Amino acid sequence: MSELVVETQDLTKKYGNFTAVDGIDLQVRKGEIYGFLGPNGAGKSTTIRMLLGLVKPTRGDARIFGLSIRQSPMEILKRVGAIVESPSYYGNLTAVENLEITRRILGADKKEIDRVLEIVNLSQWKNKKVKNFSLGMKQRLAIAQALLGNRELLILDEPTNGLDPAGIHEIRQLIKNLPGMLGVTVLMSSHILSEVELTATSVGIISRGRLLFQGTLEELRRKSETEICIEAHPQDKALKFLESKGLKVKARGNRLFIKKNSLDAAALNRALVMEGFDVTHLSTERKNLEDIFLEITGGDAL
Amino acid sequence: MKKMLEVELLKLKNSWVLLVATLAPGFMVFQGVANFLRYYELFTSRGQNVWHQIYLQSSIFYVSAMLPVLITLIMVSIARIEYKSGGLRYFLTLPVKRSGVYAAKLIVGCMVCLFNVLVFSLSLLVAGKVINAPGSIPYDIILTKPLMVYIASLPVMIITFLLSINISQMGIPLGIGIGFALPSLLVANTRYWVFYPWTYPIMAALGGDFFEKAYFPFAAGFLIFVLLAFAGLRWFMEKDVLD
Repeated sequence: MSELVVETQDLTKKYGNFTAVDGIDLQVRKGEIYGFLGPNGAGKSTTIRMLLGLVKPTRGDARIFGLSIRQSPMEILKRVGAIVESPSYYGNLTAVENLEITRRILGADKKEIDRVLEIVNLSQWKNKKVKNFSLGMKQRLAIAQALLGNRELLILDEPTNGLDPAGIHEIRQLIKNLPGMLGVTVLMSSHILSEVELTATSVGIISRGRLLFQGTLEELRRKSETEICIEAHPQDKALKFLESKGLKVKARGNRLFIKKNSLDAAALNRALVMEGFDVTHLSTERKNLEDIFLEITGGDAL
Repeated sequence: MKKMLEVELLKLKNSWVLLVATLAPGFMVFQGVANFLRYYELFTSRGQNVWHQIYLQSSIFYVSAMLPVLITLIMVSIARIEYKSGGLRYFLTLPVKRSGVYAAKLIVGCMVCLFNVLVFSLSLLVAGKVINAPGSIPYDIILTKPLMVYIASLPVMIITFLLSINISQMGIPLGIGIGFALPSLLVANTRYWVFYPWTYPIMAALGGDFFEKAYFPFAAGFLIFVLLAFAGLRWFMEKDVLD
């Protein structure tokens, strides 16, 4: 098991009676792209703000590089680059001046500014005021700010939010290349499943403040085994019959679902008919990630 | 701290606030001098000091109306830079101490206000020279007095600063800052002025040496500033940054 870069224990944030984040235990390993997935308002941003010390947890702790954000924020933040929600910038300044602020605080080398501008492809606009930038350019500048000074962990909150398809593609490629190119670990949040599917190696699914799944994308996919879906009458008796055969059956609505595994659908059909059930529908269905997601979140759509 | 101050000054680059802080006092003095020249006979008929008249005519406008509004604008702009496009939430994810950010912003805000007052002083000097005011330059009037006004303005500075830095919508600090400034000349003429910090600069500038408690605007001003600055610091350090 590789080294944990981010680890939270029982991380909780309450606003009055409302629990925005409820006892989250995140684990982000070194070198991975961790996709933090959940519907809007699920608690992603609040969690990220707690990781960065912008919001104080009501309970629990966040450890980054093994250090507590409560006790050693300065040591941690030196090594973490972040985008929190929409890209943040000082509009009255140019791209270079914005980066200069970051550079001075970090005490990084002057050459860093050109290096990160090169990475995000903004070199030719570096002396333009940022308020005149397009959203995509602002987003790229935000990534450049986060990369400046060889940071080891990037925390990117909705990095492709509001971009056009070309921009999304570009930022996605950039993020995907970061661990290989610069050896950084990335924690990115998104409310778009395909986004995480295309970029991340690990996934955490959050809904209504609770972390409902955490694991690799592979582990999430493995949940998507094929099922046999049957409509048979009378349903309750059919259910009992199938269970008596040692099968695990789930009833959803007026249909029964059985994990396919090595089961033969034709044989199953024959057995039901021979037993005198009316089989009006039989199909094999493969759940996609969207279905899995809905199942995990109990129907909270993205 | 030097680094933090440099960064705060860099953030103000291309901002109109420095321009306004520079031009506005000059404009006020110009107004004052124009008024003085228009009624030159009246204002000097009893042998009054011309320098003092320039000072008086300029500061009536400047201290009672312009300065508190300018202070509000300066403080709001300094905070506005942070809230307009998420600057603060980004800046605080850098390895900076919140207390350092707070102190640097407050110091820069107060320095811009001081700069504003010094421009006022300089404008008085230039005005006096231009209209050939007789006698040697009375620094106690054109420099010391404005500096006293500055100290008496400290409560207004800290109140508008705290409102601006803690409220992301600029309308509220702007409204309060300007709203409280407007009736200050009226309140200054009542005995309740001590409860109304916006009157302190007026008392410092125009109260002369006649009124009782001449020390009050400075002592109270300084005390209010220190108390609120520390209370605001505690607040800022604990605050959840949600904007």
